[in-house]
Amino acid sequence: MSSPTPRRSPFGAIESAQPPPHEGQLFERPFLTHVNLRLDSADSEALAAIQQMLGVQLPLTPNTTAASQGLLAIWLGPDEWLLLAAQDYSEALASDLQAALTGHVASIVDISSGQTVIRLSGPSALDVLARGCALDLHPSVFPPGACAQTMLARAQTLLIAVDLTPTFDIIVRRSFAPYVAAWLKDSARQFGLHFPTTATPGTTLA
Amino acid sequence: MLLIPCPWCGPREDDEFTFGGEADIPRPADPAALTDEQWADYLFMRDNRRGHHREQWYHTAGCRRWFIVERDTVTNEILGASTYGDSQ
Ligand SMILES: [Zn+2]
Repeated sequence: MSSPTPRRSPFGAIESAQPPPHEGQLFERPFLTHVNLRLDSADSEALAAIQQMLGVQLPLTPNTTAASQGLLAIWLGPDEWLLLAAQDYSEALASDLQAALTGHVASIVDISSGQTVIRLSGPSALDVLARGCALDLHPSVFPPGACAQTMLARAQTLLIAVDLTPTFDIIVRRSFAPYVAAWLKDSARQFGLHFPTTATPGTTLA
Repeated sequence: MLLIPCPWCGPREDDEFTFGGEADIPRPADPAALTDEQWADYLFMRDNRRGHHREQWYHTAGCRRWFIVERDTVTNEILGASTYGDSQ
């Protein structure tokens, strides 16, 4: 039997040769578990079942997230969420969700291979993003835990405020990841941050 | 640029949206009972109002929901936004 094909992250090698961490960081968080969940938010029984299973209530307020141990529930719409969790958890998560939602109308889709997370951190992170994003991401209006689906440099993205460094997680479709990473590096250069310019898309990480 | 108030996500620039034309045009309950003219009227004919206009927008790059915006077609002033549930 042939050995399994190694997994390839959209742009694995971007982690190498970073500037000093206190100046800024740009790296991929590859292979995380991304599960899209849709259910009727008026179905209080289903919401309760999910809360019991995840240990956290699905956020019902637009543009917010809710965290429990190792899992982030992200609001995507009035009946739609993204569950973001550790690597290699998607099968277990999906089957647990399926069990919890038996008898309810719901949709559970593992989209882990379809998108990835880019993390941008550092004192100039707001300025770097502002060059391609119309939203005000200042912590006074977009505090840690806030999320927004919007355009970044004309690419559809899901932005999540992580901490007050500030740090942002930028979720993009995998085919957009090299472009968005290249754009972020270019934008960061204006603020004296020189992230490696030779990210090699497709580098094998696992 | 228009600043469109998505009822869920809040105000966003119009780049994030897709226009869906005039609102409040119910789909005929029994299309097969209509004449071709009546069906064409439902599919294609719109008022093209000057001034206050209720219209449909889709938040393509955001929450991916349809909703209703009230806009003055002369001044482009946005007068309000609502979900389909609100207007029923
Ligand atoms: Zn929206």
